[in-house]
Order: sequence, then C-alpha cells, then structure tokens
Amino acid sequence: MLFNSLQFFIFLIILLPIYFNCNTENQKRVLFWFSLYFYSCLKFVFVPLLFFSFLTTHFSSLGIYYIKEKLYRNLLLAFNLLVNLGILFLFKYADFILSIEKDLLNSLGIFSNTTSHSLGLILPLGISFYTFQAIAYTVDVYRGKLIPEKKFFDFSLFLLFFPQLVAGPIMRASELIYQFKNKKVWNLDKFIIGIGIICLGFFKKTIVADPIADLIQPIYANPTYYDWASNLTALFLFTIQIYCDFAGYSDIAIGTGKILGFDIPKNFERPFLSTSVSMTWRRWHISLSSWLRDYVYISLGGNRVSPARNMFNLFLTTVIGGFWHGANWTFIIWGAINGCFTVMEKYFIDNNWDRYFNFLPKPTKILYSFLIFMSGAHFFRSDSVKTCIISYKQIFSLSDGVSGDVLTLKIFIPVMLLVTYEILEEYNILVKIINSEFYQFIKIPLYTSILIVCLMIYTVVASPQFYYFQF
Amino acid sequence: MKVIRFILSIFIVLFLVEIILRIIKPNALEFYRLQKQFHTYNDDYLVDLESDIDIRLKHFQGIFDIHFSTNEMGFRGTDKINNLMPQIGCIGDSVTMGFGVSDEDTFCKKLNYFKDKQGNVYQSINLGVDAYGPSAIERKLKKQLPELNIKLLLYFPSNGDDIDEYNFYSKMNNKLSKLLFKYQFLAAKYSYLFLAFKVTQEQLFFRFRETFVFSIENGIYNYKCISSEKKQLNCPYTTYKELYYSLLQDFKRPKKAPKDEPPHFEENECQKENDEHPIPSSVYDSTRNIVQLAEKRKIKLVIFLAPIDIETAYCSQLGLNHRLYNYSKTLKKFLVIEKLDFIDLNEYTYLMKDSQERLNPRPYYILGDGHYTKMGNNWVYEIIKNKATEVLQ
Repeated sequence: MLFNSLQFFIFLIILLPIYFNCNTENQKRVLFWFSLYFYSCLKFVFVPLLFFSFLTTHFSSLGIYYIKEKLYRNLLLAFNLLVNLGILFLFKYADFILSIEKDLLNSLGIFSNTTSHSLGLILPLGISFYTFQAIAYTVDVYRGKLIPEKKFFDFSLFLLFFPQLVAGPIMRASELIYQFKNKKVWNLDKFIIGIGIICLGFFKKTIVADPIADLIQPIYANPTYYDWASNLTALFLFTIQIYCDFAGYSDIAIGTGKILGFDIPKNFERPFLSTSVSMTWRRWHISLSSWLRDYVYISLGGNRVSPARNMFNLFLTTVIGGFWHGANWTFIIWGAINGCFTVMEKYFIDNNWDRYFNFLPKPTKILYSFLIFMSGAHFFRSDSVKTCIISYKQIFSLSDGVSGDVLTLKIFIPVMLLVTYEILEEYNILVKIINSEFYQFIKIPLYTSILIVCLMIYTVVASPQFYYFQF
Repeated sequence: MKVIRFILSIFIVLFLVEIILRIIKPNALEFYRLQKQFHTYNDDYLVDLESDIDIRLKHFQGIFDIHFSTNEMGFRGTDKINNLMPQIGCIGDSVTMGFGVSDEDTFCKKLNYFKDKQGNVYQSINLGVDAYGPSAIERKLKKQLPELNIKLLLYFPSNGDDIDEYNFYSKMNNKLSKLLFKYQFLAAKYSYLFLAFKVTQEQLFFRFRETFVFSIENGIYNYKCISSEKKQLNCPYTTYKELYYSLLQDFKRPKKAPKDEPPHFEENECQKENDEHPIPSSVYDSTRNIVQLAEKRKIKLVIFLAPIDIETAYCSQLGLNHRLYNYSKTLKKFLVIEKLDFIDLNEYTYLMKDSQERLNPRPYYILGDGHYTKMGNNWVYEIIKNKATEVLQ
C-alpha cells in the first residue's frame, strides 16, 4: 500500500479506532496484522521472503546472545550476514554482476553471445531497508549493545512496523522496540501534530515532487532533443524532486508514527542548507548515513587507523552508500563523487586549510554544496552513464534544441514555499510562527485543505510510487 | 463564538482548496477542467462547444497530447465559416468531434477542400459534440443548419446513443433536474473546487469497488477455479501446483509487450450471431426528423455506423460479431427498412492494418478508450471520402 493513496486514508481510518481501544498486547497484534496487510497490498508474494529474513535474523541473534563460544558466535553472525546480504544480492545486484561479467568476457573476446543472461527478478519492496535493519539488529546483539527479543512476534513487529517498513527511516531496535512496551493512548494534540507532519509529507510528495517528475521525464528520456537550459533546469528540478519525494515519505512515516504514539527520528534535516558536502550527508537520509557510519565505517576501522586509511574508509563508505541505492554504475559514480568531496573536505579540515574558506559568505557555501549534490544527482537519475554524459555534454556545450516547458508557476510557487519553510525552520523562526495565535487558528483548515486536495488527486488517478521504493 | 469559528474555518478550507488547485493544477483534474473549458451550457440541447477556444489537452496518463480549438461558431477547428462555399457537415458525438486527436487529424477536417467531379470545392464543418444522442443532434441541426450552406451531411450515430438519450430526456423532461444540471455545469466550469469534488465523487465509488470488492471477488473466483470440479473458462490456474508456479512468476519482472501488438481476446468475446439491442423510440423519431430536416433543405444525408470499440473491430476482422456492436446492428435494420443511405464501417475493418501489413486494429484506437487515433480517423476519412465522391456527383 502506498502512503499517497486513497487506500491509505481508509486504512488509517479503520486502524485508529481499533488500535486505541485495545490493551498493550492487542495493540501489538493489531499493528502486526495491519502492517502485514499494508505490506502484502504491495506484493503478496514477497511476504514469505520477508519472514524468511526475519526468522534467520531472530534465531541467529538469539544464538549469538546465548552462546558464549566466540567461534560459534562468529559463525552465526556470518551466517546471518550471508543470508540477508545473499537475498539482497540475488534480487538487487545479481543482474548487474551478470551484465559486468558479460561485458568483460565480450571485451576480452572470450565470449561473444549477445543474449541476455539476466535473472529478471523484481526487487522486493523495502528489501534494502529491512535487510539493513536486520543486520544492525544482529550486529548490535553481537557487540553486546542489545538484548534480543525472545518472542519472534515482538521481534518481527519491530521490522514489520508499517510506517517505516518500505522506505525507512532505518530504525534501530534500541529506538523502536521499547516503544511497543507501553499502551498507547489516544491524544488529540499528538494526532494534530502527526497530521501536520503527514501534510508536510504530502505537500513535498504530491504538490512538489510528482509534478516535477512529470515535467522533467521527457527531458531525461531524450536529452539531446532539448536545449542546454532545459537540461540544466531538469537537473536542478530533479534534485528538488528526489529530496521532496524521499523526505515526503519520511515525513508521512514520522507523522503516522506520531499519531500511533511512536517517535520516529527525523531522516532529513534541511540538507540543501548545508555549508559543505559532508554536512549535506549528515543531514540527508540520516538513518542510512548513521547506519553506514556504525556498521561499515567503524567496522573498517573508522578513524582509529592511519590518515590515509581513514580517508579510504570514508571514501569506501560513501561509495557503498551510493551502491546501496541501486545496482548500476551510475549509483557507484554518484557515491564516488560525493566520496571524493567528503574526503577532500576532511583533508582540508585535518590540515586546517578550511580557514582559507571561512571568509566566504554562507550562501556561497550553501551554493557550493548544493551544486556538488546536484551534479552527482544527475548520475542518480540517468539510466546509464552514457545518457548522463550526453546530457552533461548538452549542458556544457550550450547546445540548441527545443525549450522544455519546465519552469511553470505550478512548480515555482510550491518550491518557493518549501524553500521559505526550510529557511524559517533553519533559523528557528518557524517555531515562533507555529506558536502564534494566528497559526493555531489556521492550522486545522490548512491541514484539512492539503488532505482534501491530496485525497482528490489520489482518488482520480493512481498515485505514482515513491522514488526510493526502487531501492 | 465556536460556531462562528467553525463556519469561518469551513470557508477558509474551501478558499484554500480552490487556491491550491488553481496553483498546482494536478494533471488528472486539469484534464477534466480543460474539457469543461471548451464546453458551454445550451438551453436547447444542454451542452455545446464554446466558441473561439484554443487549448492544449494532455491526457494525464500520457495517452495523447493534442491541440483542441473551435471557431467563432463553436465548431471544432479554427477555420472561419465561409457560406460562399458549399459545405460538408459531420455530426455525431465525441468520435465525430475527434476526442483524443488534434484539430487537423479529425476525419472531418481531412475532408476540408474536398473537390467533387464538377470541380466544386467544399468546406468541411465539424458539428460533433461529445455525449450527443440523436435528439440533441436533431435540435442542434434545427438551430444551425439555416446558418450554414451544407450540401452533404454525414451523420454518425453511436453505440452509446441509448444512454445519451436517457440522460438527455431525464434532464429535459424535468425542470428541476435541468436546472440542477445547468448550475452544476456552470459551477464545475468556473470553480476548480467544485469540478474536483464532482470528479472525485464519481471516481470514489469505483475506486472503493476496485480496492475492496474486486480483490475479494478475484480471490473467491481463484478459489473456485481451484476447488470446483467443473473447471471454469478463463481460470488463470486450476490446481494448487499451477497457482504455485503462477506465484513464482510474480518474482519476475513482467516483459514489456511490444507497442501496437494485435489484440487478443478470449474466444467467447466474439459471436456468430448478434442479439437485438433495445433502442429507445426517441432514437428512431429523431433519426426520421434528421432525415426530414435534410430533405427540407435539400441536403444529401449519409449515415455511418462506426465500430468504436477495439473488440468490435477485432471480432469483425475474424468475420464475427461483438456484443458491443449489437446496438448498431439493430439500428442498421431500421436504416434498411427506412431505405436510408448508410455505410456500415464495420464492414471495412479489413482495411485496419499495421505497419507490418497485419490485420491489427490496435493502432486505430486510443488505448483504453472508445475513440479513434490519428490512424483511425484516417481510416474513416478514406471511406467517407469515397462515399462523398459517389454522392456529390
């Protein structure tokens, strides 16, 4: 089930009265079955796969916790990683590896068969997210930071919890499991706050991201047909789209969690107002960045190694972050671009060279980090490296072509509203506005209006998926 | 105070929704809004085309992206009426109007500057308006024929005419219903909010059925397929083993069907014989009146029965009938009895070929719609052009 659908509205309307009229144990049961229904609406066939991953993680984590011999603990950890990453590899990366193998053999002249060797498997929804959650759970148990849940039901509810199941935030067991222990009581204030966050998510997704996606799609499909300005505008708008799409999903997840009485941490912290590339990464998809830091960067040695190795660890972690997003060279290059700049910035800071740039005004720094992110995002959007290069050529050679109808008022006004909102939030002015009497009066009509508009759109047309569902 | 606050909140919500919709213009709703923009209310026949319209109409699923314009009299196309020239008029519903194709691609526009054997050049006039039944057509012709110089009238009755007739008379025969229709039409035309409400409430029922009822029905049907002794037709699987393999296929990425592949329907879709379709008496009456109107003004009239569904054309290419064409077949009998000049376009589906010269109606129909594509309009044009040459000797 998609958040941006009529079904989700009905789903919540049915869920809430049942949920708040149950005791703690039954609330867990209700959440479990509703979450299962939520996931199975997307594709029922992936439910057994989901539970296979859950079962493996649950029992290996219990084993790691209760067995004292290090060898067996290591074996169980390896087994768990092998199963979870194996499933992820099979569904997400196998075709990519097969295509590399084919290209390599072809170029060496060993094998010249042009027929496709792809497995052609669909990527199970949310697999990248729940796999990372499951791995984090086992590793935390292994590191002694977490006591595993004894009941499989309690453990699976942690991974199955529908607001964060399909596209994150990648929550840790320590953040979520304890929240299931208390009975959740209906709270009107929390409900209104939750609805407000959901509305912000709908605004980002339905009012900003989806119209942008429609407008730029023809340009990305045929970059040479359009002039350089259209290609550049499409690139700029895609950067906004991907942010609004994913941050929108996270907001809806956080808002839904809030209504149900859960605190889900923020996944985006105004990344485009960052003054450096590394800061952008600390504010973009925070749950993934922190996961990579805790389970990849630190596992590689983190900063407890030589400076050169430390730089390499940082670069590799960013590249892995890129590769996590998709099985294509474009994602690896995207990760590598960001990795290069992150490493460079760290090198500057370590050598105290950053002082030479401190005189630059903040907007210039913001522009720098945004432009780097934007140029990387082009690889993120393009189907292949070749298409991306063609599009870049089109931009840098100031090529002629058809002028795309991209900068319209329907895009400009919502984007400007969002930028204003983010700036106000960054400088803590938003809090004052929210606490004002005027906002207290207008908030319910405002939320209602956004919900009505979204409901109208979702009723008339099938909603487009969230961009991050493909990861 | 609370009541005033509540009422004020409602007004703010309505105002904000209207403003938001006008700014963001959601694709799907904008598609319906633009259609409202090129229609106008008419007291005699309820709906007509607005005059001097110039709109780009983009389907929200990318099915078509067309240019829709009307002239000073509200006829499709930009050409001004020239009564110094003899004219060929086309009248019918959305198929004639050319829903889904640009002005220049409608079959009627293609007849523009048609030259008869005496060398007379004709201006073509498209009088088609969507959702028109014979009664509305009769009224429109009564009003507009005196203002034109039509020598040949091509009339396209349609399969949905019985429903259009029912809708037309349910409003015309009831003053309150007509008044309500008028105000809801005007409200939907000028208020984005009202239009969105109207479209949403129409879709809501269908979406609810799609979400809850269809999935349950589908589950029950699949269960019956497996459990019943007597295997039913069209069951996707009839044993648990087949169900298992079918589920495994769900892991695979579906292969993209090549564009414009010939359609394939189940065997029972096409029948050897066609059933009679009940036709309202108003259809017969209006058809007779249209004939009289044409005779009175010495206008030659040819009636064209057109297969507007891909299923009909598919069956016709197999030499069979489809139930969707039963209406036209029944009407055909009436035209024969009345000795009217008509052409059944369904007999010309053998001309519907694709680029590979295969019999294939697919490129002739707009996807999931009952209208002709550019190729479909061209197909109609070729047939009516020959008929016009024959009639205008």
